[in-house]
Amino acid sequence: MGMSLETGSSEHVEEDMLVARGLTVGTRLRGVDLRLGPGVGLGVVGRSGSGKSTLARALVGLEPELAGSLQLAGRELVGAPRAAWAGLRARVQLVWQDPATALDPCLSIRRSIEEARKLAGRDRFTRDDPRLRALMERVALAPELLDRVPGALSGGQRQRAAIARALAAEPALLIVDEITSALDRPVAWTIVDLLRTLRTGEVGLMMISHDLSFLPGTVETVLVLDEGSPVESGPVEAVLGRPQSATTRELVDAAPRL
Amino acid sequence: MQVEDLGCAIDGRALLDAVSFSIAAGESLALLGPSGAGKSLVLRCLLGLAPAQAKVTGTLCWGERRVPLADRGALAELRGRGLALVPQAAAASLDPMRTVGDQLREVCALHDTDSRPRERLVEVGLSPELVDRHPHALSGGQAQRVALALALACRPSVLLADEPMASLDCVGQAALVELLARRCEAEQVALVLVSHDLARAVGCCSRALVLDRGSVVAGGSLATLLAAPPEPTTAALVAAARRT
Repeated sequence: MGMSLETGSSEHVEEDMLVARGLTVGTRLRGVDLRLGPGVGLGVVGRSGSGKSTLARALVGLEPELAGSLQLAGRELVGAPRAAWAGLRARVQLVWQDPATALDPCLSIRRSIEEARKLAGRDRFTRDDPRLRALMERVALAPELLDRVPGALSGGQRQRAAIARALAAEPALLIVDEITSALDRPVAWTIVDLLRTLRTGEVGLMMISHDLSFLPGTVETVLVLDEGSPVESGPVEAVLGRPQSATTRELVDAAPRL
Repeated sequence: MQVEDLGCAIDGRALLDAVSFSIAAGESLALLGPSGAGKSLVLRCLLGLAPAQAKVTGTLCWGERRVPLADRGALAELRGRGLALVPQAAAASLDPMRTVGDQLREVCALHDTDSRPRERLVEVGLSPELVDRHPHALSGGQAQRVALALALACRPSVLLADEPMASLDCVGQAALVELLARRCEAEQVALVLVSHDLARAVGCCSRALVLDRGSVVAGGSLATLLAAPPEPTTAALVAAARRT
């Protein structure tokens, strides 16, 4: 059995909630229970190979070998035909680990954003759309960068562009997979600050990180994975402050600090 | 080893300007700075591996020898003998077609050092059984340790490590820092560690040089730099490392 993370406030419409019960992916991930959606902030931590990215991929429909239950708006996705997953595209967006390969190198940031809107079934932004300007402002990117390709941006700018692309789909849930690990620490903190700002809005967040220092203040609860199984979960301050499992203790002890 | 006035320019654009430092046997120096500061380029220039179109200036003082940093041939002779590199992407630096043991034996043969692949793996905290593995069957942390074993197998005087922790998780990073410090001390190898992570560098270096946009902006003992950052780049690194 997995662990329960029923932290989503009930006033949010079920329509936007993604709920996993005993979610299992082949032999790589076993028995994960979680509830994600607007207003929910969950951190997922664990060592390399613990199943964090597998979980992220499973939640956006990129893992074929699913078992257990995964429901969006109360509708079961495990074992359902591909068409049933279509609604997920607009509601759940994943930002990948490596900013160098997360964006299409041939597309300008503007076109990447357009593509995300189209795939999510959203209307097109016009060239000077105030919503597009607001989006760039939200991720703190100068609007001049819209017509650049990813290769002409710094690592931090690319990660902001990837977040802008994800937000352009107007998701209820943003999943970010180690998005600070390729950045130097001062720049990494600016991305974490951006995530914290986004949390003041409605969008839910699942943040995968092996660096625990970014989690408190960004998410409320944390799930610890070890070799594909959940080993500990609960409020982020409690789990990191008084770790109960050996896995969590090892992660806390190894965190870089001065 | 002493580096005097290292400069590097491509198409007239200065990427490194007047970088100077020295390091003695058994000492450890961290090269810190934000992304794009030129940290990795310093290492590439010292190894004679700067981009072909780059114009490199300055001098490498190696004991009694003075080697112009523009002389790639002379630097190639030192490479692997005096100076060895632990690269950032260890897994990509290994030959995918050959076993770990073969690669260790090859390096030892090239440098006339004692070939004991199993013992060399144990020295970097790996199981001797990995000797028959190919790189694809290693984890990221194991590949990084194999890269360190290969670098140390050259019996270098100076070990250059370019963000060796970057692709590891926190637990792996802490273990590698501890290992680097321990091996360099045991073998009296000087360590130059390139890192953007100040908190990790503290674990294995006593001195630091802070680079920003190709120039040295601060230097000295890490303890002093931490206690009183002398300028904004160092202050930003210290603040980011302290922040929670």
